[in-house]
Amino acid sequence: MLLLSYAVNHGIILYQMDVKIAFHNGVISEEVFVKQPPGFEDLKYLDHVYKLKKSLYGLKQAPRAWYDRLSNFLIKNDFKRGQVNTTLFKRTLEKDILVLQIYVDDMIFGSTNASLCKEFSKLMQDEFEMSMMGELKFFLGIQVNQSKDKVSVHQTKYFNELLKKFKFENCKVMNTPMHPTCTLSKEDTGSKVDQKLYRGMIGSLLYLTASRPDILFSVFLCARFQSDPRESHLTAVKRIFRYLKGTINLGLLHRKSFDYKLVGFCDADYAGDRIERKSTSGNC
Amino acid sequence: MSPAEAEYISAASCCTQLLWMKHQLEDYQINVNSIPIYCDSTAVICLSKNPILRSRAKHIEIKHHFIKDYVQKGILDIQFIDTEHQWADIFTKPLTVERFDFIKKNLNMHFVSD
Repeated sequence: MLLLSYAVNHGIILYQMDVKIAFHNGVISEEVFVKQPPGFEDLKYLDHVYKLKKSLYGLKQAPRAWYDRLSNFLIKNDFKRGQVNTTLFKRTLEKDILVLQIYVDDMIFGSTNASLCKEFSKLMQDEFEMSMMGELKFFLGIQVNQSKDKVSVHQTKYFNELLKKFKFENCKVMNTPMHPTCTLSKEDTGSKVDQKLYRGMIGSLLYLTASRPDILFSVFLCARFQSDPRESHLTAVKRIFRYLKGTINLGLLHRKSFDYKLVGFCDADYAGDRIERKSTSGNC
Repeated sequence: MSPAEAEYISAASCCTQLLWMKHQLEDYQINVNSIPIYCDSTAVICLSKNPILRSRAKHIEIKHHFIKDYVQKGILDIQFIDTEHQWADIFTKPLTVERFDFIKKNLNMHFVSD
């Protein structure tokens, strides 16, 4: 999210790409042996095992091996790793800057200079087997719309799938996710509901909060009753779905501004619940 | 536990979040200082600006008092905001439609057209 707001403020267009079978690229430093896989048995030496030269999927050290390989390669090519965010790499060339954010095998990158982007994607393609996916549009279930001076983030596709999954396609629409005087409590005597379904709904909604801060409170409140969900709690969750259905394509919007700043708001509800809020937008 | 303590703790944990984001922004070569935290409790503002630990506030756990250091260093700047413009409301209680829509707009939430 920070990367997005940074990019829009500096007029950077972000691209994404993906490494094919990323984990096979990793080099392992430990000695790991595997059983002879079916179809590859050596009839002469049936009691022998194979020693791995490269990492495999399902290996404990595979993610780390991949990260080491990638970061070493990037650092060799004049990239600098972020001080706190170790998945962020950047390369500065005089006035231009190239930022790269990695998420396992997916990468988002952008630069103030278009030729740097091209150079970088060529560099990566020479080293790894890549698939270039072009401009950043869809990443980890989050849709991104980029334009010149603004960027918006929404999860319409993801939510439409949820509606189908939980069969809410025909429900009526609500205009808030929770009734203003709604109080849920743990000591509810209502009938029990299917815990698996309840947890599934909460889990799905939790991911949706990435682009929907408006349902944050209601989802988290309902999430507290996951260990013993009752009828009243399920009704509350259903209401969140009904609210969302009316506002399917609501998303977060970042606008370009000259006054880039970080602002915090904090508030507490003296009923034992405290939640605070931070905002990183450069508007006003 | 008093309302002021609740607000104070929430301000402290807001502070931790802001510091994390501040550090992340430093990776992008953006330096932010005197980050405003808007708080609707004057008690908290006084408490955080006063470096002396008073007996009335001694029941608050020490770990929450680190916010004072950052206020003194000038990294954070706690300011008062009236309840009307306290947008964090949306994260603490269920709201009415008007208020809900008003805050939503201020949180930069807009309808996205495909």
